[in-house]
Amino acid sequence: MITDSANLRSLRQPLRRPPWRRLTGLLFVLPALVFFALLLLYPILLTFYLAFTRWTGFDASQIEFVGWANFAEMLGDRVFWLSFWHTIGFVIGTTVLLNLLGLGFALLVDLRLPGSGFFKAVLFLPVLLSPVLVGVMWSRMLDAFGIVNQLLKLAGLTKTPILFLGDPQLSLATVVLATVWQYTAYDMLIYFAGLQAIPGVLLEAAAIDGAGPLTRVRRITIPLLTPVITVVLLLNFIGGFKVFDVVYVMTRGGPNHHSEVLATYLYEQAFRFNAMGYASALALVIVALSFAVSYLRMRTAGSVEELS
Amino acid sequence: MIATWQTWRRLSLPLKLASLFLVVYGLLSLVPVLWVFSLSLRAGREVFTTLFVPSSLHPENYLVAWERFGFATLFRNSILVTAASVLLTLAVASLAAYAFARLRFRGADVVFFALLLGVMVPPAAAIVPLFVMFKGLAVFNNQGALVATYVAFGLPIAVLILRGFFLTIPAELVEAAKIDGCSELGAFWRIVLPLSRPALATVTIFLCMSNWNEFLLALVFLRDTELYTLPVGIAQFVGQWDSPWELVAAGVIIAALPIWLLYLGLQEQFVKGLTAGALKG
Repeated sequence: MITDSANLRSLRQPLRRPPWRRLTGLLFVLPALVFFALLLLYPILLTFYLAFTRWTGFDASQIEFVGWANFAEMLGDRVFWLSFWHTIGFVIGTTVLLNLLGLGFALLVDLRLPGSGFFKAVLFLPVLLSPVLVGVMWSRMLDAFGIVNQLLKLAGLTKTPILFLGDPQLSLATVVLATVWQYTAYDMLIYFAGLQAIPGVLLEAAAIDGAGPLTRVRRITIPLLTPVITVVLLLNFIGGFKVFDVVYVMTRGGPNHHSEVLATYLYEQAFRFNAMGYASALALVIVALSFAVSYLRMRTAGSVEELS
Repeated sequence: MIATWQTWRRLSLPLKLASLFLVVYGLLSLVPVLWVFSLSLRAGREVFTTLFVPSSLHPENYLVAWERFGFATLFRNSILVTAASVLLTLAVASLAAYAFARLRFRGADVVFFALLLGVMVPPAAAIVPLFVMFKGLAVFNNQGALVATYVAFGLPIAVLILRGFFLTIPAELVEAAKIDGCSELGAFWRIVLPLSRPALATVTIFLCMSNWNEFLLALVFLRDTELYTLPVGIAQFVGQWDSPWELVAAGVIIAALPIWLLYLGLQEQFVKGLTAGALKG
């Protein structure tokens, strides 16, 4: 018996890694772990703690634990609810438009018509830019003296210029518009890559059976594209929840908070009013929204792997 | 051109219209860029009176904008911060990715899962503690702290992409190198990294783009104007409403042009880098 188990162990031994090798693994990961733990994990945990405190951010000894007070305050804070619903509105507006345009254009480009190369190249240009630059461009374009108002006046549609960014009804919409202009090509290219993965045989077979182009798109392309659609939707959602740059540059959340989003409100609370606790609680709302959506994303992750 | 014309002539009417639509939409989506370009060449008095074509050209606006907004400093800062953060991320992430792909070690799964969660964390969620930490450590208003933060936030996605690629490299290659006397690090450096150029290129482009364009962290961490990166400089100087329009426009073009020129040269890599990052992230 004893020899038997000794034999077994010696058989098993080579399969196991020698201890030094395990150490090598750890050493390889260590530098990454240091950066990750100190500058990502630890700050996030600290955000969770600070969300339950009141603090100006200057003297650590003056951190005051207040329990759920920040969250209670949030529920009654009009500007919080504005920024919350604006964020949701921004996310839905950009996601719907980006996906309709992205998928539609991907299908058109996939026909490989003359001009589609030009189209793809041109549409991709703004994807490369910082949202800050896009914001600067669009705020001048939509200004009272900008080209949009010049054209509207020339066409005789308006007598006085429309103040897109200063209008409570329009400011958020203009930010959505600028973002859609910037990222349409991004969604389109992911959809285009997804379309390349659909076997042409299926579409040909359907065509032989008498299915028209629209039926083929509806019955074959869209169903087979579902995993890609899910990925793009979630990408747009997660990107939207943290939107900051373009809003900060175009409207600063104004006029009078009418385009305030969670990230700009967080910035204002933390770095204008030194309300670190309340800002941390706002940060947790962004985290919660992103994680709720990411959770859905993880459940569809299996189908994504094949794509890339 | 002629070939394109001939294909176009043979198309059915709906396809002709579709092709035309793509070209027209492409041109329309160029209008913001073309308008800003036209603004950038105008004399100050023509900014509000001309729709598109200025009566006289003033390329000197670019020199004025370059000087006035301090583009030399902004470019230098952005290049420094981006290069340092991307190189550091690549080094640290590729080592870690190799360990996750090839060297099993205790706790690997837990660490990897934590890293995976990190992909979803937006910088806004950590900005308050980071701000306070950096102030406490007296590294506030310091580009090094910004670089280190970019490394931490770029790591998760970089490790994820690189690990996926390393897994496709046959283990036999690494084993053979080790039999020939390579250490683990030697095999990684001489065999795995050279074979992984496509994945490294993808990660590099993805990180370069996100760090070059990053705004929130740079805005919060950098106070001295001499330390500003391009996005902060553009928001704080160029985009200000008291800046003359023709100079703002020239500034926008100056900031955009280098990336667009790079894109012209590396179109395939850019598209791959940006979409691959998206799909894995």
